[in-house]
Amino acid sequence: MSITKAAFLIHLQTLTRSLRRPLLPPPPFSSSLRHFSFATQEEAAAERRKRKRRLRMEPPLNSFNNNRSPQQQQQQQISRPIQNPNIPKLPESVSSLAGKRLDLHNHILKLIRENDLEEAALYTRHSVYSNCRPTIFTVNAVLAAQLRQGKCGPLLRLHGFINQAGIAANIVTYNLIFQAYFDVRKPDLALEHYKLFLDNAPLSPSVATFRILVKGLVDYENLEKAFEVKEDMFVRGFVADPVVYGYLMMGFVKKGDGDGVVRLYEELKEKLGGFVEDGVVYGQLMKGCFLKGMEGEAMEFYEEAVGEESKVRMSAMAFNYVLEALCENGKFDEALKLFDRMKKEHSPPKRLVLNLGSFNVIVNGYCGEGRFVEAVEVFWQMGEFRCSPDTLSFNNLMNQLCENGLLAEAEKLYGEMDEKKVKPDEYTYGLLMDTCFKEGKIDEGAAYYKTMVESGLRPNLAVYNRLQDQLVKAGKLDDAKSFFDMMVSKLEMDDEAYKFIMRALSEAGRLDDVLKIVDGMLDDESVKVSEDVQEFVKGELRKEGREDDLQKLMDEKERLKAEAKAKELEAAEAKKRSTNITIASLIPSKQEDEKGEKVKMLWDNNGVAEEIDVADVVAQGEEAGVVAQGEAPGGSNGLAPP
Amino acid sequence: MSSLMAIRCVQTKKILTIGSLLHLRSFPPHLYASNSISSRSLSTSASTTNDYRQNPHSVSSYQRPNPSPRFDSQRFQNQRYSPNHINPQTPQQQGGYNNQVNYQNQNIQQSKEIASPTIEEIVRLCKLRRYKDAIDLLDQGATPDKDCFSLLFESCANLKSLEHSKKVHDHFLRSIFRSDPKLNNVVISMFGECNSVTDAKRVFDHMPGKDLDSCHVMMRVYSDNGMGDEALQLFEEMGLKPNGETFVAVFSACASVGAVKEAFLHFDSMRNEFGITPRKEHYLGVLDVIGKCGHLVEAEQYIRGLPFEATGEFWEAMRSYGVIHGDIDLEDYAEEMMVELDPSKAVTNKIPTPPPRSYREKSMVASKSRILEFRNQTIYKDEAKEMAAKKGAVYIPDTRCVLHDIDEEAKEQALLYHSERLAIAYGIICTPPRKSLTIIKNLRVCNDCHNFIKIMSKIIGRTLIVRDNKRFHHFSDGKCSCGDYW
Repeated sequence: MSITKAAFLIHLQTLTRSLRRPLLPPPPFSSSLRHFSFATQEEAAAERRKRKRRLRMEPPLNSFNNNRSPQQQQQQQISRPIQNPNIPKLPESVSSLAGKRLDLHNHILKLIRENDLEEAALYTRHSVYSNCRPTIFTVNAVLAAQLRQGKCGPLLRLHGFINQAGIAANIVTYNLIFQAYFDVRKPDLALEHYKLFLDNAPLSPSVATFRILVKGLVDYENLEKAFEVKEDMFVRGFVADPVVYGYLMMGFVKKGDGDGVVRLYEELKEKLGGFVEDGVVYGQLMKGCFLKGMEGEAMEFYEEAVGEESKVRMSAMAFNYVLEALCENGKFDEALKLFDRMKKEHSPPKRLVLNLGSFNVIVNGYCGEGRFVEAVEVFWQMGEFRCSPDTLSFNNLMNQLCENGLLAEAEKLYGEMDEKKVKPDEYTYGLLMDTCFKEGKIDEGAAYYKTMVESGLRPNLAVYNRLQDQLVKAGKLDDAKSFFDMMVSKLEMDDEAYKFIMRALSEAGRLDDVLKIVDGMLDDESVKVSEDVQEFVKGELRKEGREDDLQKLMDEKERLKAEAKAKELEAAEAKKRSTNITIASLIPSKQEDEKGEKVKMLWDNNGVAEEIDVADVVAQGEEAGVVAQGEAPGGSNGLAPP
Repeated sequence: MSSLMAIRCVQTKKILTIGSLLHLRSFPPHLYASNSISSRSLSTSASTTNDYRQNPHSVSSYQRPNPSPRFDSQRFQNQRYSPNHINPQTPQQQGGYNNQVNYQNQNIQQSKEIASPTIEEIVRLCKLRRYKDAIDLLDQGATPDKDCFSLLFESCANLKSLEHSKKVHDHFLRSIFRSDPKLNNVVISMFGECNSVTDAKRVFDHMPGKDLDSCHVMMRVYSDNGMGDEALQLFEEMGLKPNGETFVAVFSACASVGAVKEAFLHFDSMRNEFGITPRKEHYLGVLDVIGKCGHLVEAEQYIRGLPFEATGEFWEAMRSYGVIHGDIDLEDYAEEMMVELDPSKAVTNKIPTPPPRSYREKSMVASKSRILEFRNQTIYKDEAKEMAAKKGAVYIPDTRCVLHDIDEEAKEQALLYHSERLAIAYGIICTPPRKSLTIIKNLRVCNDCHNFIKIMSKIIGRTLIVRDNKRFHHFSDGKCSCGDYW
């Protein structure tokens, strides 16, 4: 009995408890509630059969009367009722993962391990058009790998494709999709999909579903909805999950509502029978107490969680939250003591107490105390505990160092990133560049910018503007011009950016360069030379009395363009003529002109088809819009709402 | 009605002329003493034979003794087999089937020429994994014994060939062991292996002396074929007192239909109602239910909450769920635990896991990320181009190729049935992914099909080689070798 009670959502207790509890108001999400808690096996079986009937599934073989002849059985099997195609498909069971399809699954897993996700996704797609359709498990493997690598755009595209291909999603797929929508900062879409899932999918959610949803909603500061999801969880017969409560408490801590945190803790305690075994809530609880100014109580809870005789099960995350609570509330010595204990207890793989987060928290703690040397020291201890820092950790520490004028230290860390095979991102470079500028090292800052662009990263216009500003201020006009030349072909600049460099050039008296820039703008089809810019350039030229030059330039351009057009037309004409000749041999001369015209149109048609990139015809589903927006932030670690 | 009868009679006759002597043999001996064997009398006799099935249909609608040879098996199970009652009125058929039927009287006619193979030979072939050859020996008149039959059944299960299974089963039914419960259990699992639940169920329904083992085997067959619901129903209607083994089968049934909650109910009833103390395999069974349904978080919780220290097997199971559901991190962690607990299972040739790009869960500094300050929100030119290129790439039917005077919609419809498209569609569904297809057509390919195939080749990722009556077109990656000139 212990197992069912202690460990899992057995629903039996929930059941009995939910019977005793007054009925909860129905959550606003679920239009059709499906209760999955049963008192007896018979009830469960009846519900199962009912569900199958609802899905028009074939009745079980032996539901036929046993005394009927086998022939009739056969006949009945053949005359199956016509299935309604609108009924949602049940996902395939694990037993379908056999034979060729299992081989495919293993092949895809291998590709994923080799981190060739593009090929994995493509092969999965291509397999749909073959005699070996991928199972939903294979698809999930690809989706999970894409999510893990932060490739949300391709993930959503693949999901849309799978939907179209009629491969029924299982709970793992849904969880991945919810997470993906949160990762691309679309909590509304995630909720919408959740609603669709509840209404249509012939599945029940898992604890992971609620965790993902609540975490995501809390991250996007939508506590209200998060609460609704939590209530939904009980309606569906789940046992209160401490992790979900932990996330909710985190939301209250963020809002600075200490009472709310404690209230949630009390609720959870009551639901779990007076004691919360999972340590994940205690860190948040301490933060809540600190918020209320009840330091004594916070330390009591601390004792309860990590004391000698504590029965609370502390995972790495639970420890991290406690550490964070201590660090943020001036108990750094206590935190260090706990950290030392954690280091001692850590013995992977059996007991995992430390992870990357623990080090990040302690590093922040040291920095908060102004003990930067020790912070860097702790940071490098990570390797001894099989934790490897990621870009975010590096950025975090470097940020703190830079803010406190320790650029040299930060640069040392930047040097180490390469050794550790951690790729710096836009933030890293931007931070270093800005700090260099602050210290007056303009050239070095510019060098960081150059490295960043050369390594394929895509800083935004703001970073570029800061760079130009500094370069011009420092009088390095040539450098500024060369950076402009480098970026103008890549970045879509706005008028201000153009004006800025032109102003700088004209101030230096290099009007020819200004005109060259305008020339470039006119050549580039994707850039429109606005009235504003024209006025500006004219104004600049006027100073030198060369205001006609712009008009001249623009007229010249017009003329060139017209010429090019004429040439094109001529070429088309020639093509038409040659087509006419070929056609002429095939069709009676009477209809020649007419037919010739027709064929030419066809040719045009073909030409267009050629140019079009057909790659994503399949992805043209509903996701297309999302994908476009989702791609950009896909790789970022942080989920901070914009 | 009369015409219907005629057809039926013809069918019956056909069965006779095809000469399945087995059908005749299946009748009670006294019928053979009666004179003629007209189809009419045959049908009546058949229905009388089958009275015990309480056939609600009239005699005429049930005149055929058997619609397919598969049904022989049941009848054989329920009727006494008597080798000496050979119908004297069908001598010409008898000759052809001597060696099949009369393996107990092997001295007749042809059998003399070939010395019938011995059991040892069958066993030898089975051991050499030449299963098909071994099964062929049965046709040559071999008479296997109990062990040999069980070996043959296993061979069929290995072959996964329903055809061979049925053949061996037919021989088995004609042997003296046909009511042996143990062998029947093997037969059930053999049919299960061949994915023929219907056959397994039929054997199960008609076997005498069903015991708990048979139920277990049957339940397992159901679960292996993804019909866990039926297995659970069988469990409910079993009427025998279940033992520990039964519940293992119950859990595997639950796993195959994803009935998590039901599994827990059964787990409780196992302890409370039947007084069976759960053992490791039961915990493994429940874990299987949770893990196979994709509730990986719960599965891990379950392992951690076990009343005893989880052994390597649990982590091995956990690892397999990671593999099934594609959770690399879980797979690696479970493998580590497994190796820790049981170093013999270490995997040597593993590809190292690529590091994840986002440590969403455990970073603890996520809220401090300000990446957006620096990352592009403005669009880069190449991105803009890409996005523009994605728009508008759709197939639009080009109805100018349809010359009939019909409305636009009908023209589009007509395009759908051009033979090369049908050929490609068929080719796709019956070949492995990325295999190139060659299609040969004796007419010129139309413009619309050409466009269609171009787009198709890109989407399905295959090279499509289409020959029309003038030339070959090699379509690959959205382009055609003819350069759109043909």
